[in-house]
Amino acid sequence: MDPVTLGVVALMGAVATIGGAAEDLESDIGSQSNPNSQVQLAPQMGHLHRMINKAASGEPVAYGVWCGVAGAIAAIAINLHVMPIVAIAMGACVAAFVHAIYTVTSHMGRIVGQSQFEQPLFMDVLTQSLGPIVGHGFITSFCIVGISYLMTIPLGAAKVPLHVFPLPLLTMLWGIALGAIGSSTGDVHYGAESEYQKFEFGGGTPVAIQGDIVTKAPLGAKNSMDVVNFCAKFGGPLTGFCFGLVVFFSFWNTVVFGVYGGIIVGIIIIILLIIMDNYLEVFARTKYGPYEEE
Amino acid sequence: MSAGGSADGAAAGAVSSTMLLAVGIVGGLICIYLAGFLGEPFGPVIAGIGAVLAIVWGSDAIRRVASYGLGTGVPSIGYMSLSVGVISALTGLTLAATTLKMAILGPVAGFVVAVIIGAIIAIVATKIVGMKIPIMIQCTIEIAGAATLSILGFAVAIAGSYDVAAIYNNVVATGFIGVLFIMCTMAIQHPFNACLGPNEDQLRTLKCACSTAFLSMTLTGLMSITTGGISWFIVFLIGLIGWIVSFKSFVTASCNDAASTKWAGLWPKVEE
Repeated sequence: MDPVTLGVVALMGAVATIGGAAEDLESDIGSQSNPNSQVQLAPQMGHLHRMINKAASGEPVAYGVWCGVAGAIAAIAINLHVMPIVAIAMGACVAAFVHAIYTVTSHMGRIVGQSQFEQPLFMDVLTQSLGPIVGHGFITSFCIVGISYLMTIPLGAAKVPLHVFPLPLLTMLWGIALGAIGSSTGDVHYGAESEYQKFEFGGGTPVAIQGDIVTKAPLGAKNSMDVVNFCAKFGGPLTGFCFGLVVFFSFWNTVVFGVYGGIIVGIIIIILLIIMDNYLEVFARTKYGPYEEE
Repeated sequence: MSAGGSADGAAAGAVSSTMLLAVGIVGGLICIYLAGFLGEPFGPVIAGIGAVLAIVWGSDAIRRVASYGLGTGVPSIGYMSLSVGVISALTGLTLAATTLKMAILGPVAGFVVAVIIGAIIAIVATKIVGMKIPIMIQCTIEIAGAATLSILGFAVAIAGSYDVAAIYNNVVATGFIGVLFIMCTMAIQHPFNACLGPNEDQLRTLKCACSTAFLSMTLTGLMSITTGGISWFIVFLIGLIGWIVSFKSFVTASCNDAASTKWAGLWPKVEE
């Protein structure tokens, strides 16, 4: 076990937690992933709205692109002898620009695709939400390129990097991984709870109620900022925590216990997690929600 | 009407899909070959334009197949076809250079491999998985072909030629191939995914496709800073100009086609 490598792994876990939290909150503002199909269907259900409909594919592909682009630009800047942290920021800046463009095209395209239901195209909704979306996206790509860079530099006494892939490939893969986690973990606490607050908790969003969203807030129209405020307390941090643990446990066990010991420890961790998850879900379903057996 | 359905019936549009197919294949291949002959400094920009043509063709093919109500499957078919594209592009170039000993056949060989793999995947999807989409086979082949040409075009723009060693050194070993893969996935599947709905319009979707394609070309220009000489700047500049023009026309078209465009206020009252 090498203390420097272990410290870097811990740092990567912490950075990934921040990146994961920002990613989930960004997708909540944009109603991306699962909620966007709900926002998409709302005008057909007679609910005109002032929400963002950022349908830039699913989160895995989208974050693969933002983080991949950020990683490619950062790799080029590092090649041109720019200081790594500045290079990573440059990459994240370009990625934020790309993110903004895709946000604008998807929101405008989807709203105009619903024009026969009299859904107006609110430009103020777009301009107000673009800053928070791109800002959270910047934090996320910065964190992902940061942890990927830490994987590629030689570490410890043996001077071996944690991973052998080039930086752009690593950032793309970790971007897809983060998008998948934001989509699966974040969705549990995401905007659907907020958009469907008039339905009983724990019922999920069955097809019959899809698009039947809440469009009014205590004061005026409900907008995407209300959704992210709702999600910032639990949904974002939880997703960040999940992704941080994924990054940490991807490297911690092999760094501490070696290759074969690491594999055994990894399997033990997975078994423990399955038991814990099962216990938690059974507990939650018997205590709350409409899924009780009559 | 499903969320993925088009009001004017599947596949209808102002621009003929056969023309887009011809422009995509012939234009894409000619641009890639021309780039190989011209070399620096104008070769890369022509390869980039070839990739743009392929992306526009691919997004029209996505539009046709996804009009049957694919919905959330739009990104999935893009993802799948671009993976075929990466494999075919590299297989074609390598086969032509090693087995056939005729490097000049590389891009065509890549395209043929893509057609074969695309056909196999589509047959599995329709016959074994049982997807009931009548144009599934044709469209999957088209998207896989467009994916290969777009990957090849941008790879040639970065490497400067379709020589297999140059592409392995400058595109695969540096990891840019992964970025090209995901960037082209996004560029091909995004236009229809972003514009879908009962009032989707082919011209507006194609304007969005031009915008995403030129944006990818701009980024490819940035990625070739270390490999190309001045040519990176030409790719970047032409991509940027193309993006500004197409993005502006997309935004104008969207504002014109919207039920109403507002800068403040609430939605109008409508009968449910």
